Amino acid sequence: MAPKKNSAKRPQPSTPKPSAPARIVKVQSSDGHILQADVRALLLSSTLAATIKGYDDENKPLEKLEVNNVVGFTLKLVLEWCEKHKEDDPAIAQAEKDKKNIFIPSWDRHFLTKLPMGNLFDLITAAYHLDITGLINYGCKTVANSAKGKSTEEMRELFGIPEPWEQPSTSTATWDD
Amino acid sequence: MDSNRNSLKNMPELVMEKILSDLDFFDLISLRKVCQSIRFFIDNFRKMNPKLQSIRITVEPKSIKSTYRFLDNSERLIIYQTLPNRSSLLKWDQKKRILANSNYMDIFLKDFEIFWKNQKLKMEKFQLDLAGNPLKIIYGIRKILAANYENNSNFELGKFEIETSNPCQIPKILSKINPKTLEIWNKNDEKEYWDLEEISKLNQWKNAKKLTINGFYVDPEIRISENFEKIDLIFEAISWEQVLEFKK
Repeated sequence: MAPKKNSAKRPQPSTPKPSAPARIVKVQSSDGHILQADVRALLLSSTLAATIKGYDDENKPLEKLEVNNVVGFTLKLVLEWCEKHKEDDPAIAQAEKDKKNIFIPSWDRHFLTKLPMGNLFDLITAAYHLDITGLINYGCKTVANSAKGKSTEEMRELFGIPEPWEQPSTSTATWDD
Repeated sequence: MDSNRNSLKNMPELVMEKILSDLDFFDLISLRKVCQSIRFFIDNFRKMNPKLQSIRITVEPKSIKSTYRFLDNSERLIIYQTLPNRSSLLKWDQKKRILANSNYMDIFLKDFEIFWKNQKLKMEKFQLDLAGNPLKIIYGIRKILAANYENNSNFELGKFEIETSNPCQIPKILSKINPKTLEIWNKNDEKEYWDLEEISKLNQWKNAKKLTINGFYVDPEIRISENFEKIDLIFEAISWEQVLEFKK
């Protein structure tokens, strides 16, 4: 490998990837549902990755992860998404973290647009708590796409927000200086 | 714990910002009318920038037309009209909307405020075409311009163009912006005399580089400061000495 110009200071990218066969752990939702997931899928969540690392560092056996702020229904969706993306190159997620024009792959588009808006927000909130960059990005983009070009009424309907009782104040104009 | 359904209103800030970043300015204007908490968030959303090239506002006796032209050369026309029974009609693109119990002027001013407040860096042109003497709108616009002007959060304005039959309106607006070029048109067909005494005291008058006055006679005695690189005026009567003076 020819050395690159500015690579002197840069450490070699050596993200420790678990190359062992699928390691399945139990994940428990806030309402007590117990699901199963591949650790590689769970590593997409920075929060869970840190917990898992904690166990591994201390050589404690990891039997069950508790996710206290996500209910079973939503957690199932999260795990489904993570399972689908567990083989993604982590560099892609990193590069997309602050990118503006995010392209939603067709599997994700289908997965997210079929959800009712309330479930989608639950999923985004869960992704936020669990710090899953890709899911936050795709979820937000899906919400934005569904709002684009809509009028205020259409947006109220879309987001299930009732019309406020009082009209916005109409006394903004001042006649004197 | 999940009885409070998650909705757009209670999304974390990071999520909200990501969603808003993906919407264009008109989507944000519609969205901010959805509810109070969303409006609060959007109004404090720093990345919001309409990226305007120019704004043209035409005020007629019962309607206001506003044209927002963006840097990518796209244009959006919004028309605000009054309807009987204290309601207003809004028209934009192919869409229409009737708002009960509202004043079309207030709605226009709120929309205009969002554009003006969020514009960054510079804008090429601000055009104002006023029929009659719509005081409420003039003072409304003035208040919005003043908020930016006094906070020093002003963007650079290339040209201010105003068409009016009432030149005493001009300083009210001009005193709250800082255009490089000033272009004034008389809306009446007949040329009239306009006393520049008041306006020529404004710093904005002194700071402008180009000046054009169409349809008004001005007093040749007026001191035209040296700042103007280019002037276009009509005098009612002018002495040869004054011509020589101006030629300098």
